[in-house]
Amino acid sequence: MKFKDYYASLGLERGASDADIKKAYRKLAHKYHPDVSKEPGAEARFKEIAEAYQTLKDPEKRAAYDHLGKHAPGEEFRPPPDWSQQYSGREQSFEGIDLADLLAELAARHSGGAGRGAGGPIRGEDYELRAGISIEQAFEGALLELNLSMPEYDAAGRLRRVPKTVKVRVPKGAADGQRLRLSGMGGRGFAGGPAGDLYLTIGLLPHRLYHADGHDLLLELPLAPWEAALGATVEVPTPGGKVQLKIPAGTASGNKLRLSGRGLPQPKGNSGDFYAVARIVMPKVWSARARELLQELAATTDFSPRAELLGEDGHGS
Amino acid sequence: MEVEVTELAWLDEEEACPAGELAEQSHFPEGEILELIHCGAIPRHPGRARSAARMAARLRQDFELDLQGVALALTLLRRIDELEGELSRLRVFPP
Repeated sequence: MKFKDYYASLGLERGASDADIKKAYRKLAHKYHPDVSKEPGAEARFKEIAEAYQTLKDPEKRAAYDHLGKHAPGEEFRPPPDWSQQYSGREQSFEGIDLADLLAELAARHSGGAGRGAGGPIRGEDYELRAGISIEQAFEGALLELNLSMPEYDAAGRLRRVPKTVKVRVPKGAADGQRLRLSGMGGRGFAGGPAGDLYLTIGLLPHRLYHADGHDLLLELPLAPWEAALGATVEVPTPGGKVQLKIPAGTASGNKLRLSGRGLPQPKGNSGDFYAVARIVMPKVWSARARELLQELAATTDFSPRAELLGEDGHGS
Repeated sequence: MEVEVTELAWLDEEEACPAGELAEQSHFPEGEILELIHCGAIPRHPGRARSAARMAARLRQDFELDLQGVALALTLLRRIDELEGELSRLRVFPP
């Protein structure tokens, strides 16, 4: 069994008071709770903090934990010889046992046999996971491999961590934040109870070209000034392949050109739309001839882009 | 152990989601779920309702909140989420 330093997880000394434990937990939970935190690695850190708090806030679990002695975090150790007798009331193997599971099992037993093996069937726990997929995977569907470590009760009612690999075929149609339920893929039930469910929340990974808004996709489309002014037909990449897009004459920066049904597919069969958002870009270098033409254009046009600022009529020719 | 999953369900907007089911998933009493729905903390949109109900359960347990605290946290977190989505869109495509 690997040792975990619950006091260090909460930034506390061993003799910390109950009030100190609660205060440290709350402070860290505000910082790392996955529902409120955007810090990288927050979810794993919060699990560590919550596990430490679950043990240290409970006097019986804390006493049992303290009696294990001090070890280095991650060090393989065995409890002192009298520990099992004093806390679990039976001899047991500690091989492959998770410390948190062991303490949770002791607490359940001490609280009147609320642990497994007493009473009727118990439904397994539900679990939640997040998985990131690319826009291409959302468009075509994806096969994800999830490596889990699930606490399960063995035939004797003891909690064990069981490694489990779940392959999930995510059908096309996922949008950012969409959730999937995998029935029966959560924790195993006990005494004939059904297994829990696994909930998978899909996150779309940032893409080099596209920005997703629900099932709609947006692409920033660079246009030359003359393409925007005169109109053009340009090639545009979409997840379903390149398409020819007609740019109307007089297109301005920020105009959205819609390609209906070319966005991400939806679970029920429809698809979102694809928007090319025009951005007029200037050449870095103009040739002498191009400059001449621009000067000619400037001389023959009375258009003022700042007319609105100055309260004038800006429509020139 | 390796498991190939073939059965999964989208939790989408067209799937019915009664308060009793939300209560079962979130371990809240049904009356409290109805109160959270009534005050707008859990949206009526079924897909989002499930997600919000489970978040409510996590917030109550992890922060030891009462019902009003849960309602306030859910409402503010959703507001932050909406604003972050809007900010992200505006960063990519300014008006």
